[in-house]
Amino acid sequence: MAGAQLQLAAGWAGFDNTIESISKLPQDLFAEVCQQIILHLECKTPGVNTLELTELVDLQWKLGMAISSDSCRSLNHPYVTMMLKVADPSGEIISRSFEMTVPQFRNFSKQFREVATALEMV
Amino acid sequence: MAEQCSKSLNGLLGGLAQITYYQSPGITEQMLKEQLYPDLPQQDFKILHEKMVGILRSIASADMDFNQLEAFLTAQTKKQKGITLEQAEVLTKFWKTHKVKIRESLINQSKWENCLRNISWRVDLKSQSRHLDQINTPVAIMEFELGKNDQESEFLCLELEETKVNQLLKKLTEIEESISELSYTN
Repeated sequence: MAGAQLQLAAGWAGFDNTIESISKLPQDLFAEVCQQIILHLECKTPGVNTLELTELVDLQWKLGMAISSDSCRSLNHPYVTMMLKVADPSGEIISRSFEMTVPQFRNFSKQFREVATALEMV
Repeated sequence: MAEQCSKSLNGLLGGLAQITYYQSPGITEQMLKEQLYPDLPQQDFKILHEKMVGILRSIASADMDFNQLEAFLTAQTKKQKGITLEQAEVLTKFWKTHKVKIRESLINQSKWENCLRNISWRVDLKSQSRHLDQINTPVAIMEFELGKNDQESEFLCLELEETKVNQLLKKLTEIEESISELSYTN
């Protein structure tokens, strides 16, 4: 009985610390977070399956130029190829590559900068 | 009469583009004949069809600009069994309308790697957990939707901390610089 009580106490201490962390959030951010949680609980936003969450290990890139192809002798088309190496939760490394046109890459870059800005603002 | 011929030719070129470049299902050579040239003998239609396929292929393959197009079509009008001036006019108008879209289609046809179909992201705030100290650590979760041709998408979900995002931004800047150098030398 005492052991269980001790465990519960330790659990509650962690809970208190979490409450303390949350109370340090700016008012407007806290309101937005609550809204997002409510939407998620109402199944209105997609959640993240944390079992599928991977960690980025490496990103390699190359800039290529497609000069011609069997259907077009004058392709002259620059493209960016990226190779992502990610580690899944078990530690296994997965590689995936994909190709982007220059406008697609610019959009990709723009979104990444938005992510960086959002991270800074938190 | 001439206007009808131009209309029919424009329709034919549009149909050929649908078949060859836009991969629209259900359009056939026979359909085009029945709808656009119902009174033309089959053999004559075949000759017209082949001529236009060849001309369109040359124009698209070279991704001709309008100077090149004018020179090319002028040469075609001077050839025996070439094209008429009215047909050259129709072809010029057609290329003006479809050039960009046909080029895009040709680029896509030669793309066999995965492409990035969509990217979505959110920023989470990791609060403290029982075993680790992660007070107020912001982390980005990014979902990459990858796929090729008509295959189903594969989703890659990444967790990125601020330092990682900043490292990646540096790489993206390197790529942008390379692209600028490429445009400069071109």
